[in-house]
Amino acid sequence: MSMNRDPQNDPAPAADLAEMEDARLAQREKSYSQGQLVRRRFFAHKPAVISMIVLLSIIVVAFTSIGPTGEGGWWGKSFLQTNPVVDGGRPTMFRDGFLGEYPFGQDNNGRDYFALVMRGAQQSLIVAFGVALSSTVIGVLVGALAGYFRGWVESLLMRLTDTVIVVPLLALAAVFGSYAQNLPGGTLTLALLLGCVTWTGMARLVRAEVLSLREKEYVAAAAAMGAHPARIIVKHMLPNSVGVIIVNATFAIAAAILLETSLSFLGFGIQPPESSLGLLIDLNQNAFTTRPWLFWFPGLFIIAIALSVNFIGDGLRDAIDPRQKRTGDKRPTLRGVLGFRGSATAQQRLAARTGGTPDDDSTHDETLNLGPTPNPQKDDDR
Amino acid sequence: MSVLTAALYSGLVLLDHFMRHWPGFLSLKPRPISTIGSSSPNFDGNFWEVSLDHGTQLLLPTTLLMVVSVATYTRYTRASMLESINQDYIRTARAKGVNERTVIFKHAFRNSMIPVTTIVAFDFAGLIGGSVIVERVFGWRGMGELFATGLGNSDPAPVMAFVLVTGAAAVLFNLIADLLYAVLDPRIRV
Amino acid sequence: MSTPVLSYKDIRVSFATEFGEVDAVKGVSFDIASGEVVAVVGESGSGKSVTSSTAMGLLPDNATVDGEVLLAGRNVMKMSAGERRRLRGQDISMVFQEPMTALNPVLRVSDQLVEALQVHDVAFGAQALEKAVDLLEKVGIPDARRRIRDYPHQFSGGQRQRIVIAMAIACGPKVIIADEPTTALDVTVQAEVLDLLRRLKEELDTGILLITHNMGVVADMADRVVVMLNGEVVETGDVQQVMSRPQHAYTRRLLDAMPLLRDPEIHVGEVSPEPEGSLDDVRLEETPALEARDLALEYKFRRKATRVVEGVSFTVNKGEIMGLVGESGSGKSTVAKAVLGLLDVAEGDLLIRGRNMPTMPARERKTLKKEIGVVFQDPAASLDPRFPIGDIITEPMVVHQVGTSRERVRRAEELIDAVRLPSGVINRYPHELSGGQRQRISIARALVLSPTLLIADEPTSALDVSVQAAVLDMFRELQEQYEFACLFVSHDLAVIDTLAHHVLVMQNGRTVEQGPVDQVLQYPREGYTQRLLAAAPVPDPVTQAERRAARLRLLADQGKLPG
Repeated sequence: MSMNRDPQNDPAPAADLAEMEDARLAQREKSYSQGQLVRRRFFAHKPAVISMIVLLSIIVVAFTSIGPTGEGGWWGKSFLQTNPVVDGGRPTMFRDGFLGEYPFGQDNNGRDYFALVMRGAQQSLIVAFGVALSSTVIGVLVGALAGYFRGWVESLLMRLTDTVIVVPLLALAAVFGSYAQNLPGGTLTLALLLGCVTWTGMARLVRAEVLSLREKEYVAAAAAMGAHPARIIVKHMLPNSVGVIIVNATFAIAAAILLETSLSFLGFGIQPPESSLGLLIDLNQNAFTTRPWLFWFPGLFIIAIALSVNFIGDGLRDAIDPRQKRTGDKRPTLRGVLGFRGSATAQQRLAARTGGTPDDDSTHDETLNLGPTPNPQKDDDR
Repeated sequence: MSVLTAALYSGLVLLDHFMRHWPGFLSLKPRPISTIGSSSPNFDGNFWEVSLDHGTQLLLPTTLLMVVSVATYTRYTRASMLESINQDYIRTARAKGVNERTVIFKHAFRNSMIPVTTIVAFDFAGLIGGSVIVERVFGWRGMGELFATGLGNSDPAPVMAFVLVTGAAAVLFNLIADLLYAVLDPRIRV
Repeated sequence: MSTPVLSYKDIRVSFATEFGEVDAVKGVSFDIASGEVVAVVGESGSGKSVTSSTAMGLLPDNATVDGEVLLAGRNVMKMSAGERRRLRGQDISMVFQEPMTALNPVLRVSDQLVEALQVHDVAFGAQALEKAVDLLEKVGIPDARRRIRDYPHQFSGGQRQRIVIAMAIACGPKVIIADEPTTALDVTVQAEVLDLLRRLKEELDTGILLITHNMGVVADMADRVVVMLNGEVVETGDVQQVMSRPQHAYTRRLLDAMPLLRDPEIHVGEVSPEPEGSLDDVRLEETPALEARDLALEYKFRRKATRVVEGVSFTVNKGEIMGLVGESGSGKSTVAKAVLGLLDVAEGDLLIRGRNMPTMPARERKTLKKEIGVVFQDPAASLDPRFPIGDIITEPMVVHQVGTSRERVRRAEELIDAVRLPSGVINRYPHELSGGQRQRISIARALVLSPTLLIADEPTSALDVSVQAAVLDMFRELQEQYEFACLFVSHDLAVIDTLAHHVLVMQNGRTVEQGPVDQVLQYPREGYTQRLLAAAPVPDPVTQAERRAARLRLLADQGKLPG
């Protein structure tokens, strides 16, 4: 036939793109998975890392200070125990040594406010993670099924989702919250029930993601080789939408903290004598002008938790960054050119860069980050 | 055009009238912006003064609800703008020599508004939900308060009514969003 | 040669990325005179687009540009942002690769054209609209006065590219930069758009800087050629000289890598010789690997079914490659989908080794899928990014529960070797491989169960020419070695010509012509096949000029001449 090339006899093998790429591949020693890359990028995101430290310390302090059951932590005071009110319940922090007897003050009944706030933070965190977990599970399930099977399954599931969305979230949550009061299991039951009203966003996102993944050729290839739908969903679709899922689960945690707070504030969430951050604000809202610390401390914790969770979500999103997935193999466009499509062989680059600006490690990284474009730039300068 | 002029002009006349009655209103209510209730208790004045009272009472709750929404929409719009600013037609517009202001407003902004409209409609339901809290905080006796007390007293009728009304409103707003979508995106229309 | 209207002098571009500086262009110089077409050729990453874009000042913010760009004697690089903006569209304009996304979807074509005129004070209001209609007529949009009110999505891809060209010539620029203007278009449309560019160049006496990877387009259009590799110019010169006597090894490689279409003999009106003793007779005793009888396929959208394929019949025997050719929308990929079981057959029979797929119970269908391997088009999407290469290749074995895990690994190593990749690749992830390498992994995956039938849906269309050549070579060798039957879907007649034994030409979901390659592509009998063959450019300027003239004669004879 008329294909007249002959790779063996060509005098300049370096001029062939295909061979150049193969040579480069053989040279590279270290291999990174997608997950490793995401981790590297996440830890380069400062606000996210700081938030992670803040959140972790809040969790640790909240659960160890008064113990997970409300008793037996290193703080030594229970959140239920009433004491004589000292100094009008004013906080002793920084006035009486570093912490003093009642660092956050005391409430009307002389209960230690630090213990109350810690208990509140515990409960709020349990609700938040519980809600995030259950809503993610429901949302992913509904979204994946709707997106994969289309047809009547999709119609049914998405109409259900729409129905839930149409009712204001807080109203629905309040109904479920007041229902949960009569059920055993306390906070955890509340969390799971709240998960049943907050899954809609996740379901829609996962469905959209699955719909776009359906068009991917590796999914078509799996279907063509006869793989069972369950395998395709579990092995191909969910791992590839894990970015969307994780990021939105994070934001769901932040939203759940606020939802719990609002519910408790309205009186449909956690009930006294149990404590929660929203409940503390509700109970003490009249004290705002006279004893503001009863208002500030739980508020501070709500903001700290919600903000740090949000920042972590941001960091994760940037790390997973869907925009870096470049589609197709187009020739360089202005965007595609964004540094990812430069061109030089290892030797030429070394020669060109006499100053040797970037350090060794960074050039190595460049080869890993570039998404699926054929990239003549991928090389290892070592 | 004439409708626009008429509307603008009557608006100005109305504003002028309110301004005229502001001093009288102040003498009746020396601290005009208060935090509790939808109208001042025992307030007595003429039509303009009563209207001003209602207006000032509205100020804080609306600002609060607005601030919350503004934050969300800012993020959505930003994400949407970033998406459309990277499109090929933006490059085409720049290649034509169009200045940056026109590129942003005429080419990028309109396209980026398309996804945002849907989100606004879906948010409407959330806004009503948010009003439950706001009504409690500012001591209004509105639909949210009706719902909350109804639920607190285990009285199903107000709760059902609330869900029905807000659900209907949300459906309506979704319809409006769909229509807006068609206006903004010719690919749906033709 | 007259004085250049646009000249690049020692252009260097580097990009600051999160991983340090990347040099994309390393000292490139060339000129363009008015009324001249200069083609910049190179594969992805050669820096050809980046170089050209420096004249427009449209590079992203992280780019650092050195060197001089002289436009009619004035240095563009020294101008203020405002001056450069006024230059764009007026003195220098651009045509882009993707006509589908280059126009703003929410604005009418009239708005976008008028904007181009008003920005540079060429015309305003009704006068501008009038001029816009003229421009549309000039680029060959029929019924321009009515259609100018339409939105971009109401035009076809080729028409959209014409509108982009209309926008580019609106202010009578001195130079037009055409960045892969025909890459996204079908061959027949490509030929028309190139005709249009050639005509406009002569009418307006503008210089054209044509960026392309296709040597055929270069031969068709260019006066001079600049060959780029890795950000440097490796060869430059007159088109005749570069194409027929290439000096640099890379240019030679590029020319050699391009699959060649043998010159067909097209005789309009004459009856071509009948095929003597078709190949089918020889192998009659054996059941064909794949057979379609009166196949009809449809897509369902909101309970409305649209027929996309109708009455297609063909047979693929063991060890035979059947090429399925057609332009976009011809339904060729849909046929491939149906064979893969991704789309239900609406009517007709689809037999795989003599067993009819549509009537088969689901369980048997799954076992039958062991016999079919598949290679898709997009190297970026064909491999699951979360799987290591070894798992990707052995996935069919896992699905069909073939072999122990050790056997699977051994089989994967065997195939990696067969597609000539280093064995270490088995533990790597797809994002570490280039497009060509990924397509080779796809082929390995397709072959892992030693299928009797391989479906290849445009497996090399997204690859650079030299990579495509390597992949095709390997494909042919593997086919001879494993003797699978193959349905090879492609839009590229040259690829089919070099690879396939039989060919089926499709248009609008129907068969136009089918038979052995030597017969259909050498002695095409249908007008459509003839037009398709005539439109494919060859990388030789003299032959291409003849072919161009022959194509115009053919179109005139068939009464299909545009305009």
